[in-house]
Amino acid sequence: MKENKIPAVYKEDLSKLLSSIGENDPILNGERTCMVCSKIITFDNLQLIIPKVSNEFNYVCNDSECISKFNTLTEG
Amino acid sequence: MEYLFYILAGIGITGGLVIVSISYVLSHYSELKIMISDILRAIGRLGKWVRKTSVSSEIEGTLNGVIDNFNENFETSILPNCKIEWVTSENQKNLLQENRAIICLSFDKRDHDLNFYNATYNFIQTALVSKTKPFIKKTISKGIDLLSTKIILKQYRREALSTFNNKFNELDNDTKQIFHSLEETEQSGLYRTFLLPEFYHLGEILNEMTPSPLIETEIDKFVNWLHDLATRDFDERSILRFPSTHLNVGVILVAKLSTYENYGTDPYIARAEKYASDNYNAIYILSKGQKRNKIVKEIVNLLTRNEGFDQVNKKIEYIKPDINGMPVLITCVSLRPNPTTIRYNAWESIRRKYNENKTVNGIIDLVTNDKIIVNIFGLKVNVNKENLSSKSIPDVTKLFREEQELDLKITQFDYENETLEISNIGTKTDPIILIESNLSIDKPLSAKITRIQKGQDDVEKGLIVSCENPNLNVFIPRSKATFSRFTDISKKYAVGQEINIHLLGFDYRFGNYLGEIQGLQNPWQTDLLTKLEVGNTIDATVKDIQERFIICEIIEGLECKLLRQEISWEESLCDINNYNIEEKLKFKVIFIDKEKKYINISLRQLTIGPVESFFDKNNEKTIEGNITSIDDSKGIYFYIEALAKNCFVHWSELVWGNVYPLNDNFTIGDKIFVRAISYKKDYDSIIFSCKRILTHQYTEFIDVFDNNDHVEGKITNIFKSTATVEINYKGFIVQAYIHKSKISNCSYILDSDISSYLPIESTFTFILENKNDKFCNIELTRKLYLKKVRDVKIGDNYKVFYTKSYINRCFFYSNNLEGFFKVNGNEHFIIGQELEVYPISTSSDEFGI
Repeated sequence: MKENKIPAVYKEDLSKLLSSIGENDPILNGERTCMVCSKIITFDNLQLIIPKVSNEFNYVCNDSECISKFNTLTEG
Repeated sequence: MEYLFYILAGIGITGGLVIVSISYVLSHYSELKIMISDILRAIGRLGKWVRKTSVSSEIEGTLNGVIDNFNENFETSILPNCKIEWVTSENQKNLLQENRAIICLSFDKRDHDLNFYNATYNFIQTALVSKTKPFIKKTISKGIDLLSTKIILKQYRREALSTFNNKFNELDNDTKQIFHSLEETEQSGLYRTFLLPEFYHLGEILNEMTPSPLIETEIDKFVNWLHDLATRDFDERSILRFPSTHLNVGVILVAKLSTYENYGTDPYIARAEKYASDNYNAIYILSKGQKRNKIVKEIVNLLTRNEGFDQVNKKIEYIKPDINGMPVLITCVSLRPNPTTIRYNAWESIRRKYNENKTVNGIIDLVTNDKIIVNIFGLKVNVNKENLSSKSIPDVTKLFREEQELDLKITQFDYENETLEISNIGTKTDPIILIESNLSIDKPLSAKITRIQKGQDDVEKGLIVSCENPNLNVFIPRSKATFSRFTDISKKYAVGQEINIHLLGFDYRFGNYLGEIQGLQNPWQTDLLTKLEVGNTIDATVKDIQERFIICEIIEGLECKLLRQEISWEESLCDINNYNIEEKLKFKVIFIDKEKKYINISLRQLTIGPVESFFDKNNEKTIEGNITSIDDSKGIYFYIEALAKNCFVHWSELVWGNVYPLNDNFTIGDKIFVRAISYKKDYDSIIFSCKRILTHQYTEFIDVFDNNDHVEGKITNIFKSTATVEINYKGFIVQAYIHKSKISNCSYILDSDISSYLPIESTFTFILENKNDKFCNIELTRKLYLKKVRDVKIGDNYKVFYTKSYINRCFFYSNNLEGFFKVNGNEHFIIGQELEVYPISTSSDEFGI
């Protein structure tokens, strides 16, 4: 049976990854918010990156309630 | 370990140690990963690679440990292993997928729980029953992800549970409901052992098919069915199979120990073989408790030893808390049938039974009017109605039902040609023999109510109960469940309630036994009724309200009737509408007829009414009234001012004599004097009498009366054709009467003449003409007396009084003499005028004046 892969980004590689997708500056400028609680996303509180169509992204902060809510309210 | 010894001996200690080390690494890979993670964590300061590897090793190690643990229960791995795939600036274009969250993992210890939770949820979402999920309703899919995540967190990282629990309440209701339903299934041990494996296999079946609402509905029904099964009460009837297009699952419950004790493993084996022949692709054998666990193992051993069934799950035992929190052993064995092997085994089993001259266990697949198809060891065999019973059966469907188990004889068997004939005649499941045998049971049977039977009009018809030993369905008609017309049997009895019954018969039309509730006592034969007397005060409940009466029950089925007029002494308060069904009230019993089962009750008689009160005050007193109407055939109606009520006196109570017709003797508007002689509670009326105002010592008088005696009497009243007389005889007073025809021997007495001959208050001597003991009446005559005492002498004068004249004759009368004298027309006399007469001859009535 093949392995199931969990896509993850290591915190220390985050800046590099975000730069590659053009999201580094918007986050540094405080232009991205948590899709659940609307808190401004920073490098410190970013927990989930959710790709959307056409190179756009949603974010969920590291508040456990936000993560839980994202998991329970989005379609599986 | 034995094989290790030989290996070590063969290749030397060093080589052996290498092999053991490799073997350990392979079998404990997950633990090693966690261990590596711990080591790397300790040296994390050395560099980013160390920290990064520590994080991925910890998550992969823990999750894969869970997965391995789960997979080792099954022959094939149901869950894939997981691997953290680092997304970097270099590979991001290949790895980023729309809506697939990328988790940000950090080495920071504070983020551990969050990392683990996210990784677990992400893994469950994508890896668990991933092939099936596209076919499942989103709410169910979400429920599975949440519950599975919760189970893992609970078992391996309790600290991370708070993240899960925090926002659970924000779930939409549908998902929440599904989650609870799945959690209840898990609590019974059937989520991980039953639902997930079935979903996994379903995914394999559905692979490359297109999701459709039909499949979604099928899966939805399966989840509900499994939940019902998981949450069933002990002994509750459950649907033990789920036949559908893609999911065909049969369940065998080892629940009642009595089944095993009475029949061994045969019924379970037969059931499994039937599932197999009905193309069920999975069979689960379930039980709770240690004793039943042993039975399950015995059954599984029998089913798998001939390779008719393969056991799918390796781990079959789970400890789960019961509803009281006590640990209970759950046994769940998953079997996959091999139809070809089962068919081969079936012929072998039949041959063995045939040679041993033993019966076989069969389960009915199909019932038609004239035959059944029965499943024997997984083979389907026709049995015609001639072979079903020792007596002729009009309609097979009335006596046999699908899923019924039969004990069958093999009457003909040909192994080579694979033909056989089966008969139910004379076996213990032959319905006629069975019915007769069951009906001969005279002890009460323990039964459980399975249904309240209702008609098309929703009227309760009775109870359907099931007995366990013997295994019967019994219909108890309403009349055998309660004596009350009003009792709602669905309130008196509850589905699931255990009761004792007696069998009464068998209804061949419906194929049901008929029974009655044991100990149901006829309320008309209870001590309560024996002791019940008129005048008792009782409690009763209103059950039915009609226009003119209310029906109440003293106890269930013991009815009594409250007539409208018995509500109150005041007519205006006699309103039926003031009462409500099920209202409990106190009543007075006013009438009982135990033969006719009739009890009358009264509300008003709890207190003394105005009529009774009037009677109490005026009993034996003379009361004045005014005649309001006269009915010749009944009596006289009159109004009593003090009572403000119209009353009645019967004709027989008017006079100590004959006063018929009443209209000739009484006049409307006249006064009438009566005496209240008794009070009748039933009718709230007083019995009045006119004649009883007068002293009438009839019995005493008759006792002392000498038939040769004359009696002295005073005229008390004159009626149309009679006069009443009060007699005083030997100290006893009686009332008597004389008819006008008995007054005179020489004159024809008209009605109007009576008062001339017998004036009121005057005294005469009479002879007793007749007596009527029934009415205590005494009839008198004067004629006989006058004949007896006539003794006139020529030349004597006699004092008499004038009574009337007719043509030229004037008639006179006295106590001892009567007669007439002639006048020439000029003389005038007044009625009652005293005269002196003399006899013209001793024999003639003619006198001179």
